[in-house]
Formats: sequence, structure tokens, C-alpha cells
Amino acid sequence: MTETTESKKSGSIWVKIQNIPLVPLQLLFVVLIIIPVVAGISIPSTPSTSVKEYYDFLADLPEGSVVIFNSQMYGWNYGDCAPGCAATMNLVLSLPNNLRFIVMFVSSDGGMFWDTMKKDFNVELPSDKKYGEDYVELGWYVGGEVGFSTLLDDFLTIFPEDRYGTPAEELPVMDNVLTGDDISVIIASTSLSALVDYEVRQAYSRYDIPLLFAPAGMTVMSVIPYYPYAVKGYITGLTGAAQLESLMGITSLTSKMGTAFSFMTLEAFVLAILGIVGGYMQTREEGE
Amino acid sequence: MVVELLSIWIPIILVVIGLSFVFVDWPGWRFCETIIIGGGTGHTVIMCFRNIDRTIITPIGKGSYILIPAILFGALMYFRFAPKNIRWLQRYGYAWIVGGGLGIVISTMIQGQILPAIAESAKIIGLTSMDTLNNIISFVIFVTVLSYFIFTKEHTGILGASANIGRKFLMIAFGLGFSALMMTYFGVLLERVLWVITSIGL
Amino acid sequence: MSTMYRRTIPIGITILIVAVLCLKNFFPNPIFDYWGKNFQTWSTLITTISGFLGAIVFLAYHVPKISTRSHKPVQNQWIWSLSSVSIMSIFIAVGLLFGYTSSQYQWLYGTWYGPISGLLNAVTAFFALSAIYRSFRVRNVESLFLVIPALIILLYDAPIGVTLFPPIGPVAEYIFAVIGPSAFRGFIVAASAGTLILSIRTVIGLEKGYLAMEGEERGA
Repeated sequence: MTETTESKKSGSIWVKIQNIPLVPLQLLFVVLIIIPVVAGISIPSTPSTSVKEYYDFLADLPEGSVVIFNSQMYGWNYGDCAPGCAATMNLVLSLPNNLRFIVMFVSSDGGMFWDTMKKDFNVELPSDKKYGEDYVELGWYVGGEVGFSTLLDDFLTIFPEDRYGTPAEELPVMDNVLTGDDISVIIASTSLSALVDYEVRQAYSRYDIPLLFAPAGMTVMSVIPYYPYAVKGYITGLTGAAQLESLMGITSLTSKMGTAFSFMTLEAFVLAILGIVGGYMQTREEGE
Repeated sequence: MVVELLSIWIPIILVVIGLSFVFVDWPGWRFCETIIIGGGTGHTVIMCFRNIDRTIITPIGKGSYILIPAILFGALMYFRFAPKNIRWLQRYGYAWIVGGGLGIVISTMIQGQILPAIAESAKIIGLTSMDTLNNIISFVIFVTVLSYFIFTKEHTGILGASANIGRKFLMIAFGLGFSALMMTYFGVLLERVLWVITSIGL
Repeated sequence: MSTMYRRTIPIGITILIVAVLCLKNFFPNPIFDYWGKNFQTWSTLITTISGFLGAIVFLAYHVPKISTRSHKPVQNQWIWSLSSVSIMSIFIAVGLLFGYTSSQYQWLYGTWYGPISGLLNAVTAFFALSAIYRSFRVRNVESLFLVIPALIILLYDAPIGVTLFPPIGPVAEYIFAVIGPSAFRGFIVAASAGTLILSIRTVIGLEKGYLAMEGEERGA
């Protein structure tokens, strides 16, 4: 290879666009999060089919149905799962069919992050709803699939009391919630693929309980194979939550996150295109 | 007042130190790491105490003596740290856990995952002609992807062609999965940065 | 005799539990229901009781590092080990003394651990960005099957994506509604069949991996 060719190669525009220094790109990534929040930019979300089905399924449940929310939210997936948890909690507690909302946690941190979610996203019980009568937080169940299976066979074995020590007999929301037969739907917010599989095996196959999911993005590929026979609808990550909120006609921190997410994704998309085009053109040049 | 200020600024400083790991690996990040590991382990221990009290001690106190064998087998799990000649006692605890897991998986795998997936993919006739076309495409994708995972026969001839097509569809599906995975990472970072700027008051 | 206590009886326990749980699910009957539920409950409670194993292993790793002032695997490892153990001890002490719902524990958790517990995942976003930039390359026609759907879904996930490029909306919805589910269903059936076979092999004693112990000969 001659010197001229080598200097042509290193100076080639296609090589340069593949080697932009990473630090400025990463700093730009952070700046793109801050700009829409500070500037108050808002981009509307169009609900997808699965989000509309998620909403419609909950809205069409009979009066007083029992909705179990299985939250696997913890530090590692908080940013992606929390918006879905907040949007779902707002939805279930605001629907006119007076659903009974029972929350349980898969991880030991679940309760703490649930409290953090309620604080960060300003989720409050509507004035006509009461803790213990319409809504309860049960706590952490251990044992993965075996624990979940035991819970569906005998709820009170795993949860004889709620998170705060109140016995289940003293909570009207837990009336007649004894086995999987008493549950109308299970919603899960998770980044764990195994949880999706074991809910399908235990809840759907043994008790025919329909499932809804608010999975983190990484878990959506575990959810979609069961759609639409076992999984009746799903909202994926924070964009799914933003779409659900636009369907409900409310805006919150989730919508701001959706806008910031758009900007981050655009940068990733542009960098991907630069890398692909640069790589392809460099290969073509070297081939000539 | 001091506690309130500390409650606001300590987490902000820790998050900024933690995110600085991307640019430089320094002792500040190591300290954050020790908090994550130590704090997580400590919290899990506390929650274990609470769970044992709620699901074992309290029910036994109310007369559920049928749970006592669980305590005995659970205690056997700690023989992992015993001298070598009695360490094998831990296997009795593991046998229970593995047996419980296998029992519910074996008894629900076929009718829970395998048969419904096959039934759903085998639905050809739809309500409209578009649905029928989509169902046929779904069926073809399902069969070709499944043929890719047949490892007992060499992928030649019809099986080879089918497996090749299945591979392409799997690549499309994993492309979907890759982007969805990026969404999670971006979402977690986004939430933390947003939390820092809203805590500062921007 | 030793083999009976060490291997045969544990495998026997596994087979018994699996048999009872299968009978409970396939042949509903008061006796199978009763014992099946009990075995399931015991399995769950054994997992609950063994929750401290992680903490003990954690201490078993870090305490020797502290006592020997170890510098492996990183320089000044013993300082970091001391920090980890101290923080764990503080959490346990506060949690046991005041209770996990107390304001003291909530402050400790919410100020020191909660905000940074997900940071390891958050910093991965930067590395993911770098991976998208540096490793997304189209070297042959086949790789287009991975790259093009990935780019379409990447844009579709963002609210602005469909606004800027409307055609990606229907394409992405089709991938999510038809191609993705069908492909992953095939994947799930194959993986489930493999899991089932491995489970049955474990039950009949052909797979003894779960009986392996540290410091013991394989097959002992």
C-alpha cells in the first residue's frame, strides 16, 4: 500500500464519520435529555393497537373485578417500568367500574420503589377510593414460579397480611380473594422474561386468567408470542405508558420522558446510519 | 433542616458520581458500587426476616404446624457451610426446591406454553381475507423457525431451505428485540438524569 | 449406604414432589390437592428461609479480604470490601432496630441506596449508544434482516419517529403483530421442548447437576 493510499484512507470522510470521538456524543446524549424538559417541548404520542386493547380490556371488566398487579419494578428497571406502573394505577383507580386493585411485588425492593414511583409521578388515590377498600399493597412474594403457583392456589398462605401488617381479614378489598378463580386479570410490570413464561404457565393455563403486561422494553419479545390468546394487551416501557396517558387524556412526567426519549433515540438512529453508511462506503472504496 | 438538605444533595452527588463512571473509573465510582452491593444485600436480609416472620413464624404461632418440615429442610440448606463430611445434608433442601420447581413446570409446560402456541399458529382461517393472509404468513414463519431448531437432522434439502428462511425471520425478530432492549437502557438513564435536573430545580 | 443418603434419597425426594405435583394438576383429588399444596408451600418457604445464604456468601467473600488486607482483584480491594460490609451492617442494624417501615430506614434506603441502585443499568445506555454506533455494520445482504427491522423499531419506539417518518408506523405494527409473535412462538416451542426434556431427565436422575457441591467429587 502506498503512502498516498494510506493517507487517503485515514483522511477519507467515510473513515472519519465512523470515528467521531465518543465523549462528545455521550455528553450530547445527556444534553438531549435536558433540552426538551427545560424548553417545555412536548411531542404527542399516538396509541398503538396493543395499548388500545390494554385500555379497553380494563375498561370493559365487570363491576368490582379483582385486578392483581404484579410489580417486578426495582432499581435496574425503574426508569422503564415506573411510567407503566403509574399510568396503570391511574387508569385502574379512575375507571368507573370500581375495580379492586391489589398490588404485590416480585423483588425485595418492590415496595420501596413503588413508594418512589407514587412520589415521582404524583400518583394519588382518587378522593372516592380508599386504601384497604379499593386498593392494597400486599408485599413481596418469594419463590418465583413456585411462590406464584402457591399464591394462586391459596392467596392467604403467601399474603396473610398486607405490607403494613394489617391482616387480610380486615381488608375489604381482599374479600373472597382466595384462589386464582377469584381473579379477573393479572397485570405484570417486569423486565424478567421468566416471569412472563411462568405467569402464562400458572395463571393462564391452570386458571384461565387473562394477562396484561406493562413490560420493560427488553421483555416485550417474551410477551408478544403469547399475544393475543393469553396476553390481551400490553404497554411497552415508557413510550407505551406515554401512549396510555394520551389515551386517558392526561399528561405527567411520563409524557416529558417520552419527548426526551424521542431526542435520545434520534441521536442513536443518526449514529447508526452514519456507522452503516460509513462502513459500507469504506468497504466499497477499499474494494475499488 | 440539615437532614433535609442532606436528603436532597447526597443522592444527587451519588448519582452524578455514578454516571461519571462512563468517562473515568475512579474511587468515587467504586464507593458507589460498594453502596449498591452492601445496601442491596442488607435490604434483602431485612426483607427475609420480615417474610419469615409473616409466612412461617406467625402462622405456626396460630397453629399451622404443617409448616414445621419446611423449617427443618430450610435449615438443612445452611449445611453448605458445614464440615465436608456432613455438607451433603444441604442436598435435602435443594431437592425440595428443585422438585417443587420441576413439578410445576413439567405439569404446566405442555398445556401452558407448547400446545397454545401451536394452536394459535395453526389458525389459518380469519375473519377477513387480510386476517387469513396474515395467519398463513404466521404459520409459515412458525414452521420455518421451528425447523431451524431441529438439530437431530442435517439442514439439507427441504429442511435446510426451511431452516434458512426461519433464520431470516429469527433475525427480524431479534432486530426487534435489540431495539426494545435499547429502549430499556435509554429509559433507565433518562429517568435518572431527569430526576437529577428536577431535584436541582431546573 | 453413603450413596443412599447422599444421592438416592435426595433424588427420591425430587421424584416424590414432582409426582405429587403432577398428580395434583392432572388428576384433581382431595388427597393429591392437599399434599400437592403442602409440598408447594414447603418449597416456597424453604426458599424464604434460605434467603440469608446470599448474605453469608457475601460475608464469606469479603471478610477474608478485609482480614488479609487483600489487593486482589483490584488495588485496595480490602477497603472496598470493608465499605461493602459496613454498609450492609448499617442497613441490617437500622432495619432490625427500628423496623423497615421506620422513617430512619426509609431515609437510609431512599437517600443512599435507592437513587443509585439502577446506575449499573443506566451507564449501560452509554455503552449501548457506542455499540449502536460502532458495531452496526452491514457486511452482507443477510445482515440487512437484522439491521433494517432494528432501525425501524428504534424509530417507532420514539413518539417523534412516526411523526417524522409516517410509513414506519404500519411496518412496525406489522412486525409487532405478525412477524415477531410468530417467530418468537417457534422459539418458545423449541425452548420449552428442550426445558421439558431437561426437567424429565433431572427427575429420573440422569441430570445430577443440582446435587453438586463445592469441594466434593462429581458423582459422590
